[in-house]
Amino acid sequence: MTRVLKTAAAVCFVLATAMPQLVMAQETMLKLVNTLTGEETALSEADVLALPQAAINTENEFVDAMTSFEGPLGREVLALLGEGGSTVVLTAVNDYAVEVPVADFANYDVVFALSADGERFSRRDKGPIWVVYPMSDHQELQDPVYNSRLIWQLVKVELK
Amino acid sequence: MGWKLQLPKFLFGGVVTVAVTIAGFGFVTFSQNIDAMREASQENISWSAAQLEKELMRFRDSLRASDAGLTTSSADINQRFDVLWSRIAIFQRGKVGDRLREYDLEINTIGRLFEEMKAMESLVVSISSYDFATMSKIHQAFYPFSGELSELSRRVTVGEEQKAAVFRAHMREAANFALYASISTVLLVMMAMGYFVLDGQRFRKLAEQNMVLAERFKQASLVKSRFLTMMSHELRTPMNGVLGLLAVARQSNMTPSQRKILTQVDRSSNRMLGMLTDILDFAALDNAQFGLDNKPFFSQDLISALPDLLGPVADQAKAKFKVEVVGEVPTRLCGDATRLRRSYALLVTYFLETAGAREIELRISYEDNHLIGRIVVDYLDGGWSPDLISGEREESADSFASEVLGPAVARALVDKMSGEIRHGKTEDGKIVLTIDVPVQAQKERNLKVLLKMQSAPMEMVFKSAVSDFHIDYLSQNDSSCAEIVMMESGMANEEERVSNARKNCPEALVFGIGRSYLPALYDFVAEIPLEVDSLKNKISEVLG
Repeated sequence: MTRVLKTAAAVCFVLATAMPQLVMAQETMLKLVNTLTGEETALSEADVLALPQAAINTENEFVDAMTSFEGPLGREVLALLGEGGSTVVLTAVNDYAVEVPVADFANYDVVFALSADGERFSRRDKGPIWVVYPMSDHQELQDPVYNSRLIWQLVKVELK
Repeated sequence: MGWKLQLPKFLFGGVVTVAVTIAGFGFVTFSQNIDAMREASQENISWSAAQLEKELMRFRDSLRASDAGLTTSSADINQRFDVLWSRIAIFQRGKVGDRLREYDLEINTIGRLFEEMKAMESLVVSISSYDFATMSKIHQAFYPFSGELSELSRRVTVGEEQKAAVFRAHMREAANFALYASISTVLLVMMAMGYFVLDGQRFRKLAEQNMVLAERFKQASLVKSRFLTMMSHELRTPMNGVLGLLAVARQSNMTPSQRKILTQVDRSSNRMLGMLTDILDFAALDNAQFGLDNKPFFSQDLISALPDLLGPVADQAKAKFKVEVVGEVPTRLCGDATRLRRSYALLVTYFLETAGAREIELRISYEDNHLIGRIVVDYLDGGWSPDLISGEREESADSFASEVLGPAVARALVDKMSGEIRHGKTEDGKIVLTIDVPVQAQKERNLKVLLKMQSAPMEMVFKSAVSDFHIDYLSQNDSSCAEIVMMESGMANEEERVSNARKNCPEALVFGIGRSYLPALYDFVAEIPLEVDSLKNKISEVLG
């Protein structure tokens, strides 16, 4: 009897400690909406990490030096929304939103960065996702138009 | 005078330098302006400052939701707190952060706000959804910063506008400078072009004057040349008369003393005749009508004529002379055989008569379409002047001596034939003068000839005369393919015989051999053996 109680207590302890991680892992990190079809997809952190990961080295106006940004390419994420549409509306956690042409993701290796130089973004910095353009590789991207598209704390992607 | 000639170069260089400098300066300024324009874009700066102000307001609103009769969760409060934190982070990194901090250096609103956030962090993280007292406390703590952030936003906007104004003024100045610089450059270029036009006119006038002078000089030179030619020619006639009479005189009975004097006179006369011939050639070389007589010839004719021509000269100079053929020389060549022979003769004569050579060998060879004559000289005494052969000693009329004449004519002839004269030494120290002239070898082929001789001796004489050629003598049966019909001329029914020959061999040339009373009937007539050379030349022409 004592053994049964001990085993039950151990199981409860394991569940209690593991639950928050399980919940966190399944919590929605990025919401995808295709306004053309009305389809919606919720990606957890695990889903985002399961996508093919890429890394770009670049500078921009918000970092001090050349930085490596790691995460899935924007076009890999958009592929989950299906084909069609010409514009994507990217929305941050504070409801700030920018419109970005779909062509940007085809023309450039735009990364939905989860980390910089190997360090994961926190919500108090640029997390969970910072949209980063390879500005150092393309001079035409070094322009205020593209600076405004470097949206961080990204939580929602809508295809129009 | 020198600086005047150099002036256009300096002027051109100066204009190009100024234009390039202005263009370069304009490009650099334009590039800098583009960069500055990009950096001066105030969007991120003003936006970031406004975002901070806005997020602080949202955070405070989340704390005061209960005042508006709304509910708020601790999660909402924490999310607003995190977003506000992230906006503070913008001030800490990157170019945007650097520029934002410039506006907050004195008041340090951001620094104090961040310190306050860190102080309140534990309260915010642990706040419960209905802990209105704590919410109020936090709200009060951040209340003063709203005004300060509003003021910071205003400072950022005003400051960026001022920077933009300065930048616009700078752009305007740069544009004005570029305009003035362009106008100056255009004016400078126009002035330079004007100068070059005037200078060009001056040079054109000078060139015209020079052309007139050159024409006058040419005419004068021509007159002089013609005078020399005429005088040489005129002098040669009586000189030949003198030589003829001397030859006659030497036939008569004379004492040894008289014969010795006559021999000396004969030698001097011959020398003078040679010089007159050289003068004639030299004058002819300057004549525009001078042309090469390139035609096929037998190499053996050229080579065998040289000992006959130069042997007496060598004997007179008490020197040894011999001609040697080295390797194989094609039987028939195409070139100016007369000028080649003359070139060899003039140079060998120079070595014999002027340079005092005692042993000379002329080695003839044919290498890579060039006929090479190497004059190998073994000196005992005397001296020769290489610079005299190369023409370096006749720069001025003062230094033009009679000894120069022969080599000068030879050099000019070789030059006209696109050849060159080089000098060097053999391994055993002998002097070698190489006369290298491009001469094409003629392809050997058989000539098809129909022979129509009336007498056997004439036929033999003819065949002997043309024995150097490869000739297929055709029979009457295959006469239609003959290239030349050789007919003995001056015989009975000559007109009818020629007419029949032309009818039977319509493609063939008809040559008359012997004296003809109707030479117009034939394409060519030669009396052999007197005109053997002429006949051979004509056959060579037909062979091509």
